[in-house]
Amino acid sequence: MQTEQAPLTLQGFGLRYGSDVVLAQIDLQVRAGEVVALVGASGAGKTSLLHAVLGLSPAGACAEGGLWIHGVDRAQATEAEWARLRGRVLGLIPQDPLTALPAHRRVDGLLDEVLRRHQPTLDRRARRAAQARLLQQVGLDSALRQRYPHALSGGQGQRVLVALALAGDPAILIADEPTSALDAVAARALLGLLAQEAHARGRAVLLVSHDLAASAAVADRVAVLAAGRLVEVGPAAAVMCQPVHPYVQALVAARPPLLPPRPRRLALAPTAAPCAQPRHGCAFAATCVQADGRCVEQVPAWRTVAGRQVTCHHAGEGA
Amino acid sequence: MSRLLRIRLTLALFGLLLVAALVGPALSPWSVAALDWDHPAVAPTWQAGHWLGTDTLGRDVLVRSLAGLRVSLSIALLASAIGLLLGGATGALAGSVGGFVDGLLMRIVDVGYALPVVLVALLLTVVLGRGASTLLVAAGTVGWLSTARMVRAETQRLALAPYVLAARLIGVAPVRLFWRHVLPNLIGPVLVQATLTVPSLVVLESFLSFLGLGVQEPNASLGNLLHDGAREMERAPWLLLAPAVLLVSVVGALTVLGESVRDEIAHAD
Amino acid sequence: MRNSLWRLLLGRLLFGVPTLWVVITVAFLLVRLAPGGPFDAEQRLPPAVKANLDRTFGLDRPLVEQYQRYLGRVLHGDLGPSLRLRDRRVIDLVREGLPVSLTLGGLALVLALLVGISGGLLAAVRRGRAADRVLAGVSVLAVALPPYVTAPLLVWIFAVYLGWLPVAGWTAGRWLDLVLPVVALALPTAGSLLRIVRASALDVLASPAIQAARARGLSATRILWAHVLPPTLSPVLASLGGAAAGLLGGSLVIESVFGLPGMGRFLVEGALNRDYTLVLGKVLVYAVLVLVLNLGADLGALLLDPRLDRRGAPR
Repeated sequence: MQTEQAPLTLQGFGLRYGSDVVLAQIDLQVRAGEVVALVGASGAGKTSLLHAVLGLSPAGACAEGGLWIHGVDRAQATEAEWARLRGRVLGLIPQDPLTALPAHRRVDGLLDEVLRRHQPTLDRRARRAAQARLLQQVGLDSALRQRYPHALSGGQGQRVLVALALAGDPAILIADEPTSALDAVAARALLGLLAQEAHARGRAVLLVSHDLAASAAVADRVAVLAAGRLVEVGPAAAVMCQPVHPYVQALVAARPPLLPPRPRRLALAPTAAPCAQPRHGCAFAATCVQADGRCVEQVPAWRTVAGRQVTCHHAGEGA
Repeated sequence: MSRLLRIRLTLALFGLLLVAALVGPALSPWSVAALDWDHPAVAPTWQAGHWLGTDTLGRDVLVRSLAGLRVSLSIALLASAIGLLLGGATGALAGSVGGFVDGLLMRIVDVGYALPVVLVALLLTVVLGRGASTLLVAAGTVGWLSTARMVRAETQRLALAPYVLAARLIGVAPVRLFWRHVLPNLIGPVLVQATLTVPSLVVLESFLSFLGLGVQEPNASLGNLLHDGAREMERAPWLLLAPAVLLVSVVGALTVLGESVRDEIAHAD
Repeated sequence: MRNSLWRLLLGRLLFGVPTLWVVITVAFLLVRLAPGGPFDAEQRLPPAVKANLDRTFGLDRPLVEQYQRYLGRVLHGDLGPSLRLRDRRVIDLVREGLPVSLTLGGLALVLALLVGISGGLLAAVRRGRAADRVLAGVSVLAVALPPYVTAPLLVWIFAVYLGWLPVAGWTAGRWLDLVLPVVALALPTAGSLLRIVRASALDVLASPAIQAARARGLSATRILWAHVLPPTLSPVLASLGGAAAGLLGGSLVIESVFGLPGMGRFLVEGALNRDYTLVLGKVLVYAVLVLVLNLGADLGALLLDPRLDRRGAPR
């Protein structure tokens, strides 16, 4: 396993703030050349996971379990090693270009700064060429590089953020709700760009989103996070068309009525919320109609059902 | 230290100083101007009953410092009250009426900003002579400027707030709209502004009194006490210490209080 | 950028001239409408002498005519004769005092900015740690202690006790003379700037832009200088007008404590014994200084925040 390890590997990973368990038992791999969508409601722990992967967890956070980035073990990584990983191995695409781009810096200055940091051997002219190449790669006119962030549209700003993340040629790209500030067309185009980075250039892309349908459209695999635990991980089409976990069923049923048929009977109402970070038992024990004594007492373990991983005691029973 | 704890502590300190300034002088056997010829310029002592010593004329430093604090605080509070009322009214008018009135009022404010308050006090001294009233007028004329700007900006922001728009859509009359929906929300920021204005006015008072333009002997204010104290610093350092400690405590307490409350409001959501 | 720079300069000029006119007019009227005049002070002058004096200085003319004459003179760079200091013209007094005051105030402003900005940044980066706590305490002290308390204290420590620096005085070209006055004057401004910078830097540090810069792997120093510092400075520029006013008030006190021959000299006495022209003239010069400093702050804001530059907006 260690020899063929995926660029981003989490194994039994957990995160606590004091006694608050934010993430527990996260098993997830993002392989080179694939897009994995990490989907969950707000408060499910998506942002905490993302910060942990970047080594930017706030002070007071306590990580446990395994997290390997490009073979580097979290438990042994020093701050200097993290600093070497960021930008060169890990690229972050932040949420909102309006707040994530500094208002006082021009696009070219920002690009140049990252290039100087990660490719120090390039001279001035080479960096200019690299800038043009990066902008072209994300589908932007290179005339835009003279602009300040406020003079860019939302979609352009988001693409600049992608270009900045790509400047260090990272093996892993992490996108934090990259479409939440965009209209539907621009969002779709941006997701396409991310998929292309994975499929054509072999990067491992982790797409964090609260929109299951939109992210499943470009993702190879989908991982659903609820109350700090992964509840279902599997191929995007399988999870979308035949969700197994009651929560995922509810999530799939909650989206606008088009494409695949809804399951007839739902174990969870589409509006059901998971209980916040339970110490033991299933997070949905209180709201799920299938729940029994086992669900209250035991945290469900991974099961393989219909080609995917699910954490539900009742998974596979009906099939 | 948490912000809430800081607010409570500074509030308690300010309350303590306020009570001491109000009732302290009355509890002492000495009065502000009473001369004790037997004990001129004595260092702090229990025996003679001058806990913080006396000045060169034998006046009790503790009583004079507390009385000085009372005078300084009264001037600062009164001046900032004038400033808040005047500035609040101007700002609210400019912000809610807009147009020509707004432009005119704000240009007046801009002009006022070109004149530092010390200079206004100097000009007014030429007209009114020196004394506490001059100080009050000077602080009042300049103190309203920043309040006016702040209240205007806040009024304009509130006028676009969703609940104000909603009230307008159901036909609430403009006057009632201002009274019920805008005004209550102005109180918080204005209070914060006041908490930050008072200490700066205490410092201003001490400045002008130091220059000889403010409160005159034999009345005490923190400013003229510090002036005397600074002059006698090498021979009688206690003359400087008592008013300096009071000034630092009151200004420090109010500054930290105002900043903490402002941050608490800003980061509440 | 250059376009809006000129527009700003022009706008400020168009605003500055009427501002100065209003200041002159209001100040002139205030001073002249007050009861009493410069020559009815302590000892009674014989009426004939007083009338003579009034005629010499034009005080016997109607107010409107005095006002016109004064305005006309000011336009020609003449602030009139001092009414109380014999044979001195106000413009000459300004010419003598201005270099001293500008040196003192300018150095104090630079020192306050350096200390305030670096201290505020340090406190924000070390939030909650020992350095932050110490700086928070020191800055409250600096804000609350007026310069006329710190000045004698500093003199006592460094000049009397340690004997490192001169007690007071001013000899042109002797920089040691400047150290204590500049430090005493800069302290309160440095303290308040430090608090402003700290609050502002904390907001910036918590912003997504800084997180994104970290995730890009930029070095800590690079982030501090190129990403944290510029947006942190915006509120500093906004408070520069207030800082200037504080320095100005402080400089009056400092000049008197250290016996410096600056602009503040004769000003307080002038106000007390109704030296109209002297007070008016010096107040006018101060107003010009404040306006110029505000213009500088506006230019700085334009450089720091390109959003203020309308030309860069999306087409």
